[in-house]
Amino acid sequence: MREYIVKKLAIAILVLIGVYTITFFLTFMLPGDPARVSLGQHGSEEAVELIRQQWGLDEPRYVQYIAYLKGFVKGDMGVSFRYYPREVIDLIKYRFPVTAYYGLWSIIFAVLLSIPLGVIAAYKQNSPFDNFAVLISQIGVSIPNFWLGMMLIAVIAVRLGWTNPVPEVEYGYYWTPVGFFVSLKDYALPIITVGTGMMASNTRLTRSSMLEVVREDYITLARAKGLSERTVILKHALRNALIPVVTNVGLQFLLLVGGAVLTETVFGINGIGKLYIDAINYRDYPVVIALTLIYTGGVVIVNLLVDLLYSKIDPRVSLR
Amino acid sequence: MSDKEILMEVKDLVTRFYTEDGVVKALEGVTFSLYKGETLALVGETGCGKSVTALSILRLLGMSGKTLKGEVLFYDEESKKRLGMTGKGPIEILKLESKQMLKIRGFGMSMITQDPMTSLNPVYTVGEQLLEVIELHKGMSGDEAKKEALRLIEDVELTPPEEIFKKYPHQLSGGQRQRIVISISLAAEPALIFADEPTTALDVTIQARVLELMQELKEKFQTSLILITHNLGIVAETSDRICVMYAGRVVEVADKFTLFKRPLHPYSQGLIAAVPVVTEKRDRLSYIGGTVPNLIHPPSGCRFHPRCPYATDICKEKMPELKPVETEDHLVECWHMDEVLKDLEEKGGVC
Ligand SMILES: Nc1ncnc2c1ncn2[C@@H]1O[C@H](COP(=O)(O)OP(=O)(O)OP(=O)(O)O)[C@@H](O)[C@H]1O
Ligand code: SF4
Ligand SMILES: [Mg+2]
Repeated sequence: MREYIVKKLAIAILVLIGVYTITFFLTFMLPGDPARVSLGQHGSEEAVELIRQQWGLDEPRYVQYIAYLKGFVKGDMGVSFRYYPREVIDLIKYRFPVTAYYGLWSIIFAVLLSIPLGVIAAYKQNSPFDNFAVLISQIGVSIPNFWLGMMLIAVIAVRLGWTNPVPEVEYGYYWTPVGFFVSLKDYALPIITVGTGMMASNTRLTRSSMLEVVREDYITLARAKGLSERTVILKHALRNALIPVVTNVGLQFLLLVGGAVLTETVFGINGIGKLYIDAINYRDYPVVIALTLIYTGGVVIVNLLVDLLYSKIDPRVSLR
Repeated sequence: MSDKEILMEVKDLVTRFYTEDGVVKALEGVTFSLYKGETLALVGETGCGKSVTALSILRLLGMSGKTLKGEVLFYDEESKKRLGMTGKGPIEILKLESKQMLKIRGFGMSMITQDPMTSLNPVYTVGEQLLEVIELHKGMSGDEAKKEALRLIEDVELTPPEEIFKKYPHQLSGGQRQRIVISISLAAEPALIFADEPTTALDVTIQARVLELMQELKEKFQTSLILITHNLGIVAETSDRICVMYAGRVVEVADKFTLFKRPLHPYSQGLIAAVPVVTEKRDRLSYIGGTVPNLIHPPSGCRFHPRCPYATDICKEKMPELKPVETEDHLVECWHMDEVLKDLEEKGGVC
């Protein structure tokens, strides 16, 4: 186990270096000079040159490459171009809590709803409930997130006035014990926007996985033992059926970041997604590179957690 | 035979499956009885309803299956006690509420499934899966239950029991797993066990020992066994009586010797003749012509008529009934027993 984690982390470092290299050269190959973008059309040549020197953009590429790499090794992510001289790490630290907040709730929403839905649908296969669940998940996976988001704003926030179109919660309040729940009202729409697709795909997966598992011989044997339906389904079938669902949920953590860009644009949330897209638009390369690397690290960690969880659920999986 | 005590009577079971392709008429009036302590073999071609018979009695047909008609009378005293029944009559299995049925399954009757590779839940240890039955039906818990589980593991000759107890199914071999399945089904010492192809998936070398073990344990607990198998060799070795099924009907029942020596139903005759006999030289293997009937649109009348050399018009129109022929305990359903018997006289026996 220990060995396994160490091995995974070693691989992770190689992956991070690779990703860093690719992102570095890709971003610097993009058209547009960050110094020029930051000063706008009317900045003088001298001013632009001055800034280029300050940001190290006049150095050869490889020098810059090594300078950044050295920084990362020391945990220094550099300084933002756009918000000069603010540290990239500070920007990320500041934007992270809100994305983590509604992201976490989206997953909770998706998991808490999808698993019972999928289990009951499978158990009552072809019943009206099942048909309803299948329909809902069909719709859920096919609706584009941004469209759902805009519809929710139009109908629930604007027409019905049940909540604010744009969350109005004081920064950080959502991570206090009370605020964690109270802020739900303001963040309900983004949570539903992000969570619906996840919920739908998890429901589908849970349902089909359950349908497969209940046909297994060990379920027949469990019933032949005299176990109640409840025990058969919740103890014997569900745990086996959850194995593929765990992978899916892991994947959704990763999709969260891509989704955040759209969601935060639609709902005007100042989170990581917004930071990312702005950084690209403003050629704020240090932020782009840092976020890409953090995301990569996230992928590695989530995969590791999924593997660990896997081996907890399924004893046949041995970590090597 | 008649001095033996009856454990279960199955009368006229009619079971259907409702599928997208149509209604599968899987059982069309299955009737047989079972004596205490005996091994009854259910034989017949694939798809003739052997497994469905077991599942209908255990009431484990799943969502698409339904037993429309029939009676299962279960005479097990222990089960009656557990249900709190005081009267003289048997338990009417098909009339029990599902809650009561939970007290019968595993306790009064249990099942050994075919494939040991898939019969145990991969995510729980052997111990956990054994303890479940012990706690459920023997009212034990904690150390007492564990001790019992270890004893059961020992009963099926797996050592060391403590090690096996902690193992997950995938850490055991096929034979070891099947022993565990056997110990699970025997845990509550049920009066009746269904064994559906219990050794088919095992290596030939292990098969014999597992069968022997089943026999031993069966004697020890005085359990009755309904053995479902394709393998007539196993039938010859282990069973007392044989029940031949064809397309959802029981077509012949007799004790083992009679059925092997003097099968009377034209289908049984074909079935027995199809077994290669090592001691006899034969030009070619006999076989039954034609194919297994489709049970969505089964043949009318006697379901065997499209393949039967004796078939006449009445066979196509009316379904025959099981009747004693020659002795009280030899039951056959066929309109033309006379002709069959006459032929036998001429040939002087079948095999
Ligand atoms: N769950 C089900 N849904 C639909 N049809 C079924 C189902 N289970 C069994 N059947 C049908 O019922 C008939 C009897 O099947 P059964 O499994 O009892 O055959 P069997 O005698 O046990 O055959 P085998 O020797 O192959 O195990 C077959 O036609 C089969 O297709
Ligand atoms: S009833 Fe007719 S078809 Fe059926 S086995 Fe007898 S002779 Fe053959
Ligand atoms: Mg079968």
